Amino acid sequence: MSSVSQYFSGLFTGIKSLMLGMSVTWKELWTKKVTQQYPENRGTLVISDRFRAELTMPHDENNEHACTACGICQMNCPNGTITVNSKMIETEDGKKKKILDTYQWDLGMCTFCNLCVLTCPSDAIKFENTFENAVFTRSKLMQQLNHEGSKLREKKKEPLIPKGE
Amino acid sequence: MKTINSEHHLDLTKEDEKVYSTLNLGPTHPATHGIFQNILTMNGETIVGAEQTIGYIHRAFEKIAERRPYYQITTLTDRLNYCSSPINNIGWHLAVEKLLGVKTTKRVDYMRIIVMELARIADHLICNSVIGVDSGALTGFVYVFEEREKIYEIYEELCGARLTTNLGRVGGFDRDFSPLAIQKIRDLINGLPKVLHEFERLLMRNRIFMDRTINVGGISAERALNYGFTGPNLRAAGVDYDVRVMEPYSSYNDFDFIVPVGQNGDTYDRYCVRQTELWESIKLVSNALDNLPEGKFNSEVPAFFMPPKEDVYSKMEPLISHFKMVMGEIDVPEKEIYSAVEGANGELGFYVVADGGRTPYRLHFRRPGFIYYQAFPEMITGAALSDAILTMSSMNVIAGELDA
Repeated sequence: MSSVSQYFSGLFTGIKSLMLGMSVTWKELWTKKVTQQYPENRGTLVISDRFRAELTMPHDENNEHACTACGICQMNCPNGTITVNSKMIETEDGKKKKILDTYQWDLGMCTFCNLCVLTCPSDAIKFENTFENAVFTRSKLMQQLNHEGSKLREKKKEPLIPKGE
Repeated sequence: MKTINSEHHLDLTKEDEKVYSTLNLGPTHPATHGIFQNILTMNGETIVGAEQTIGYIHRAFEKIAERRPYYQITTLTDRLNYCSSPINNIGWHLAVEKLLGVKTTKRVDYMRIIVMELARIADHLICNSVIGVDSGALTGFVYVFEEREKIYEIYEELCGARLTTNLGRVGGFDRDFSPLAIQKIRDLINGLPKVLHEFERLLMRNRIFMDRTINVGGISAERALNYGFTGPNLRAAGVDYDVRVMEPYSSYNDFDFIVPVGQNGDTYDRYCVRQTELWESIKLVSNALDNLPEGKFNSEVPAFFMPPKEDVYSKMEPLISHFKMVMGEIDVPEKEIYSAVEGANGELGFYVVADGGRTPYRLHFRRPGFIYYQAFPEMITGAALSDAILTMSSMNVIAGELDA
């Protein structure tokens, strides 16, 4: 007799615990999902403005940048990621002037520490939050940040990167 | 090349060698989560001797640091205990500030407390949930990882990186907290208690978990002190030592918080100490956020700290100090200092010898993980293999910190 009652009580306990477990599953089914469907949700994806993903050199509409080719970013990069190539030109009034030739950044060696942006005295470079940096060949990781034919903008103009960023 | 042989180490007789077997736990064993090698001498399931090897990811940070200006070393400290890198960053900034002999404002201090306690929460969440994983309970790990992700999103909002944060700079922060970041911190501390309660219900009084962890990997208070234990591992053994209380830095003395202390120094006590610290950290974050004073987010001593960019671009003096600063020409006194912070897994100290040059003459990181790992063979001798894995995860030894 006792074995029969044990059988039934075990059966009911089993069903009860199953229902209890399933109720948790049922509740979780209707709660808001926290996982993100990443490649599909590109349109609504929010990445912090401060996210350090890609070094860029902002240019204005006249294809002018703010880099004076002082090379302090190159000196301060812990990994030697940045190479600033400058050249000497002669201005209209006969003065010699050092200007930026190419600004090379090696994404593959960068640790995204932000020291180049911090040390830049003229706010010429900036980290953007465009994080999809994967490429198929290593040579594509070497990037030239200044645009073709760009010049140094005048000092008096409004800064390219707004204050407080 | 000399091979490491634990039989030789133990001076076993020929008869013993027939009974005992050698087991390599690591260097790339998934259960050690990190690059640790342990050569265990086993008698069946019982460990009779253990020998550990370190240095698999040694990157010579202390040597590299001798060639870098002070503020560039922050990027190296990221990679010590990467589960709570903001504590390492701020610890280094505090060390440099102590060397320069300058005081930061209350706002900077409180902001630092918020960030450091968030990092402590993230680290303890990982450590405690991984104790669960190693004892066979994967569920809790998944529960708390959602909260850890929120903390990483806060880092993203504060400094722009998730793991290797390089947060702040000597003298404070490079930017103020954004309103979104403050909102995210508030959301986190409002939502975290619910998840922590759920997590505690899973493990804290779970019979299986208690049987697996009580009296496993224990160390006495005396032995722990002799080894130089600090942090949660020492407090679990019953010694109430916390750098935040003993030598308050960054205005920790403004706050009231409990330093939890255990009794036996075993895995369960370490778990409980961390769990209690989580609650204290939540209180600290919310107190610091509520009492956050107004003011500057960076100290204004232009000789040592970077002046604002607008001034650098338009005024002479800030330009000079900016270039002096970034080229490492600041006037550092000839001094030896030791500055410590309470890292997530123990006292993280920075011993700096400065000779007045642009780089430190010599630098030593006091890494708590390195010290815990020395005691590991003693703690696991006589235990079963599965207990050794639990002991290791509960000590929170992190490979990056162990090897520097």
